[in-house]
Amino acid sequence: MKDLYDVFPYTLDKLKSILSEVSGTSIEIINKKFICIYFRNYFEDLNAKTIVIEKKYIDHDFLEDYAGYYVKCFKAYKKECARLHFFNFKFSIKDFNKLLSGEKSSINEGKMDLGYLGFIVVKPLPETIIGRTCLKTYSTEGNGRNYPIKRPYSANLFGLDLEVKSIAFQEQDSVVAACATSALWSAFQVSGRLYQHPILSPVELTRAACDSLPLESRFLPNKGLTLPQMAHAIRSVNLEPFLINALDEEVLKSTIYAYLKGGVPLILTVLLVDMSNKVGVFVEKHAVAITGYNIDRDENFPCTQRGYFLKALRIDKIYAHDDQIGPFSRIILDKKKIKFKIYGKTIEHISMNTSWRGENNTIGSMRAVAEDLLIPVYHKIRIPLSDIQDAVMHFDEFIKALQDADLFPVKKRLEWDIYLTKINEFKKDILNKKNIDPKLKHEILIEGLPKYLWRAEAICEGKPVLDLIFDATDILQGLSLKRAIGYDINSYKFLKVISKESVIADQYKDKPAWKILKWFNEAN
Amino acid sequence: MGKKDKNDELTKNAIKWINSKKGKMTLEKAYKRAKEMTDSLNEARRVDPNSLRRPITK
Repeated sequence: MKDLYDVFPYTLDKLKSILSEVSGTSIEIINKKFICIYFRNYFEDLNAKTIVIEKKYIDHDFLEDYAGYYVKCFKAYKKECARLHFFNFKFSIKDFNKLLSGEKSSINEGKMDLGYLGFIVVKPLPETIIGRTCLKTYSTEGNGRNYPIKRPYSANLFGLDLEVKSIAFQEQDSVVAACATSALWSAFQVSGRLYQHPILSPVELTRAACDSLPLESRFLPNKGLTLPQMAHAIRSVNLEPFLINALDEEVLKSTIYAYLKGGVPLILTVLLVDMSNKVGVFVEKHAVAITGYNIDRDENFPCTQRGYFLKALRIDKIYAHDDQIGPFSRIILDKKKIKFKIYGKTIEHISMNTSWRGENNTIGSMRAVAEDLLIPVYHKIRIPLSDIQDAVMHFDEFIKALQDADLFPVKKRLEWDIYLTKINEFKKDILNKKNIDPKLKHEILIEGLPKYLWRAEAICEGKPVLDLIFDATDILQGLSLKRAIGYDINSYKFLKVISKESVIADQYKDKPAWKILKWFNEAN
Repeated sequence: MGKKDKNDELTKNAIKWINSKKGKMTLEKAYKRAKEMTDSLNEARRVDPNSLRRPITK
C-alpha cells in the first residue's frame, strides 16, 4: 500500500522532501528551485493542510514526451510519474484507508471534493520535475483579481471524483520544451476546451512549431521558438494566430482585458532585463501565458491614456503561467521606466515588475518589457479589437463634443468597457439585469444573434448608460452595430433623434462613428 | 420645467447646434482628434519585424 500511496500533513519542507523522493532529484537541487519558493506563499494562501501522494501515475503529456524523446535515451528513465493532491483540511492515512475500504471514516468523497486544492504531477526527470499542475487560483473574493479563463479539471483519486477550477501549468523541461512551448501548452489547455481542438503535448507542440519552419539547428533538445514558429503551432490546431505589438501600455491592457474576458488565452513575449546594476542589461526573450488580471478597485477616477476612458486601463497587475516562476505568477504594471542595452543600442522604456532574480539574486531585480501579444483566435472571430475600439473612440469623441457644449443628457465623460463575449453569456447577463425595460429584455432574449460578439458598455460614475453589441464574425466592410441597449433612457432617445438629422449622416457617413450612429439613425 | 420638457429642450438645442456652423466645425475637430488617437493606437499595434526573427529562448 505504501508503495502506491501515502498521506502527510502539509508543510513546505515535507513537500520538498516528497518532490525529491518521488522524482529521484536531490534535495539540494529541489531547495534551489525558485518554484519551491513560489509554492511556499501559494500553498500558504490556499491554506493547504494535507498532501496525498499517488505514487504510480501515468500522465498523458509526459507519456507523449517519454515516447517521443526520453525512451530513446541509454539511461532508463521511468515512464511513471507521481501525482500529489492537496487538501485544505487535515486527515490522516488511517482516515483515508477507511474511506477507500468503505469503513466509517471522518472523511467522505464530498468533503474531499470541497476541500480539494488541486494536484501536481511530478516527473521522474533530473531537475525539471514539475509536470502538469492544476491548483486552485488565489481568492477573488473582495479584491480586483479576475481569472476569466479557468476551467474545471477532474482528478480521479482511487475512485474518488475530485474537481478543481484552474489552468494547467508546467515547468519547462528544457529538452522537449522551452518557455515558448510551455506558454503555448498552457494556452491550448483553455482553447482546446473552448474550440474542441486537440491539446498537444509539449513534444508534439515543438514538432508542430518546427514542422515547416525548421530552426537552423536541431529542434530537439529545444532551446526556443520564434514567433512565426509559435504561430505555426497555433495553425496546426486550426486556430488563427493574431499577433500585435504590446510595447504600448494601452494596447497591452486593452487587449489582455478584451480577449481574456471573452475566454481567449493570450501569450505575452517579454524582454527580460537585469537591473542589478545602474544600466540594465537585456538577458533573453521570454514567453508566458496570461491567465488573469487585477483591476485596481481603489482607483476613483476612470483611466485614460490617449484621452478616452477605458475600464481595461484600470488593470495594475497581470497573472501569468511563467514556466520558471510558477502558476498565476504576478506581474506588476508599475510603469517604472528603465534604461537598458539591447542589440548594441541603449533604450529607455516602461517595464513591469516580476519575480525573476537578476545577477544580484534579489527577487524583482529582473524586470520585463512587454514586446508582443500572440493570441490563438477561432477563425470565426474575424473582427479584431482594434476595429471596435476605433468605432467606439470616434463615437465617444462625438459625445464628448456634445458634452462640452452642454448638450448631452449625461454630463460626465463615459467610461468604456470593451470585451469579446458569446451570445449565451450576453443573454444570461441580460436575463439577470434589473434595470432594463421588460419588453426590450424579451425582445433581446429572443433575437437571433451571432455566436461571438464584441460588447462595448458605456458607464458613467458606476451607472450603465449604453450597451453596444457588434457582430465579431462579420467582415470589416460590413461591420456595424448589431444592437444598442439604452439604460439611460434620455441618452438613448436623444441619440435616436440626433442621428436622424441629415447633417449627421452627411458629416459622419464615411467615418468610423457611423458604424454606431447608423443604428440609431435607423432605429424606431 | 418637468424632466421630459428639459430633455426635449436639450434635444431641440442640440439639433440647432449640430446644424450650426459652430457645431459642424466642432464635430469636425472632434473627428480629427479621434482620428489622431486611433491612428496612434493602430501604429502602436504594428509588429516590429525584428521581433519575429529573434527566438524566445528563456
